[in-house]
Amino acid sequence: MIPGKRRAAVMFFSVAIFGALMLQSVSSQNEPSIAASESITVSVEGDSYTLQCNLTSSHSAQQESYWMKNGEEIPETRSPNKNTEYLLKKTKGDSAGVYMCVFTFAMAPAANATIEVKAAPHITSHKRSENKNEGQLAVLYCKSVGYPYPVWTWRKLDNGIPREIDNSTGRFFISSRDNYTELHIVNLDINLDPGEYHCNATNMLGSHDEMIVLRVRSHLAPLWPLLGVLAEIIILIVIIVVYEKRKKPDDLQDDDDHAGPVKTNSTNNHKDKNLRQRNTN
Amino acid sequence: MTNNKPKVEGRSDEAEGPDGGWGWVLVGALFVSTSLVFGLMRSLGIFFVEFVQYFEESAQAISWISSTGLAAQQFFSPLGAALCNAYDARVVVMTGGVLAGLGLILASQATCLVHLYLTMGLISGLGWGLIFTPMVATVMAHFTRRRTLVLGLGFSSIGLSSFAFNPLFQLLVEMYAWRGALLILGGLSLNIVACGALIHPQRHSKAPAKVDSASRSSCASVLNRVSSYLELSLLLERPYITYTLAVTLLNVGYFVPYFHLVAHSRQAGFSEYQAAFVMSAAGVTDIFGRVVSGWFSDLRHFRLIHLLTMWTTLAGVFIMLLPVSSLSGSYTALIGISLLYGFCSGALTSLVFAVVPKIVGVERMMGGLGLLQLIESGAGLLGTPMSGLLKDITGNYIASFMVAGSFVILSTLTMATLPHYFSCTDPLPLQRRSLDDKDEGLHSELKLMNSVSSDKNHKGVNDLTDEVTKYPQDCVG
Repeated sequence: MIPGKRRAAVMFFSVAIFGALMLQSVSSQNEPSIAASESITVSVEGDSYTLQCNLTSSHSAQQESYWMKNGEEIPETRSPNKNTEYLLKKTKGDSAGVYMCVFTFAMAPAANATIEVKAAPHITSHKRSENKNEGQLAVLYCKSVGYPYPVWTWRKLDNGIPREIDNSTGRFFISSRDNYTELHIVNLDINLDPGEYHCNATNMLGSHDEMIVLRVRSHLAPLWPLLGVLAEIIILIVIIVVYEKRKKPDDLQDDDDHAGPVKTNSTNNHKDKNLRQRNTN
Repeated sequence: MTNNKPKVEGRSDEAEGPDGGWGWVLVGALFVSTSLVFGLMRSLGIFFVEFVQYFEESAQAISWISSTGLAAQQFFSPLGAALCNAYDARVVVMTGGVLAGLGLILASQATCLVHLYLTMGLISGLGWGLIFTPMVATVMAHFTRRRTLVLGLGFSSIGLSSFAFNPLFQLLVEMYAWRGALLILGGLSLNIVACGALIHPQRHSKAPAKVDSASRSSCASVLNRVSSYLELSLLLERPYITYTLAVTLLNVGYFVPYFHLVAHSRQAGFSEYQAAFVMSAAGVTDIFGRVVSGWFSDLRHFRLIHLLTMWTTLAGVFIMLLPVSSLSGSYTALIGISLLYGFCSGALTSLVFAVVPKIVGVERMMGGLGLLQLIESGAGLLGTPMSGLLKDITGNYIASFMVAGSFVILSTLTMATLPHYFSCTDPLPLQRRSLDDKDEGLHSELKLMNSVSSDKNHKGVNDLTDEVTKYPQDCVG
């Protein structure tokens, strides 16, 4: 090889390598770096956790920092600090979710870091019992807290054994989204549908189960008490009328006094009637 | 002689109404029927939540149902009274029971809100109107010495049944849905038919015989008969008009605490449960007040009208004190005043109807009660919206309560203008003016002859002295 060409190749390669190294360090300088705390698994309710984010390097001036939870900004967390903290006081089930610390810059797009707060699912709201008429639509729902979002399953208690819902009749529809699930049952059947239903939320940390009782009212159900009441009334009236017919011959005299208010110094004709009857009796 | 008795009742009262015996059975019937009329009306709130959900109407539109029912009950009261005068009280009450039950049963099949107005409002209201006044008048006719006590016992059923019906209706609605619950309630209301069957059938119509003797089928005589059944002649007599006016003024202010006390307590800063408890506490003392005042009035230490005035004044004062007591923020003061208010308002309820026969006499009592209910119904419709308006204007309930209390005090002052108010004995009740005064004189002479000839009937002697001396005696003691 010609000695001049070798030197040129070495020069070229060293410049290339140096240039690549420079490029890398420059480009990493363009992206700000954030040191964030690790993901937390909430195990004990009531503990306090602190989420921290430190902006270690940035090449443009920092304006503000704030926190977001599940995609929405948490109010009153805006501050101009580089090191920002968010205190989770007395963690409850709904503390779980995806938290983000966001740094805004004057001349550059915002940067963020994600911290996941995980918790086992806990079903917070569900109706304990649902009463519907037959043929109607029943909607059973369950709502939970926890992260990651659970997988929902619905089961019906059949002779004491929970079984997956049998949709051979095509009347059951399940719709689940994140922390919420609904079971729709159309055209309620009074023989097949009443019973205990269980909604189950499961994620990698645990699972939780809740029970809902479904009762189906028949159209004819109120007729029985009604017939009972009517029978009672008819019996009472019969007793009263019979009692009266029995006492009638005995009380013919007294009845004239009891019937309505006894008149005294009002119309004189009635007075005379009373007097006359007394005289004949 | 009977003139020297220190007792304050009119002597004519003693000759009427056999106390006790079958009368107590009728008190039981009054208890049951009043609870199924007014107790049921007060507990219909449970259904309104269901109606709002099912028919998707505003709460105000739904609340018109109970307003229509109450208004119909009061409007048809004179009709009920007139029918009792013309025909048999037993048949009228039984028909009323059938209508009340029918209205609720038809309401269970309603498909739109207008159906509910017509069935639960109009038909049931008509039934209730045919039940209440005749039952009250019949029971009052059967008692003299214990009249106020039995009225108090009968009306205490309203408070007791609203306690019992609220959870019962809730249970029925949950188990059978509102349609099934209304169906069952209609059946329960038919129990009033059995209550009506307990009234003895009436032998003679109360129409004065004089009216029939003249031309029968002429328009004028029919109108005369109708007006005598309705006791329209009472409207021309000053004592009755005065009393009706007083009761009307009372009604303007009387219902205001029932509607607004809970809201006022919440506004004063107390919790929901505390506010609801205030209302329940007032309800409990209301029941006590009815019975105790009935028992006390029958001890005959004071005239009924004086006792009524006292309770009314106290109730008015306590209504005015209600907002003042909660101003200081003290819960004890609010509870205390509410308890006292409940007692006084219950106490005056027993007496309001018992005074009527003192003014108009037992014979015209039925029509008198009917007309009274009709005239006082307007006040109820006026009072609550007015207090609501005052609250909207001033922002709190102080003005509403003050105005309500002042209406009640005003009714006391009106009562004080009744003739012979300040005497110790009751004046004689009003006589029905006969068409022909000459006949009156002739008949009194005939009576004189008959009573002298009969020695069995001491009533005749009393009536004789009553006819001759038409002026109340002065206090002896």
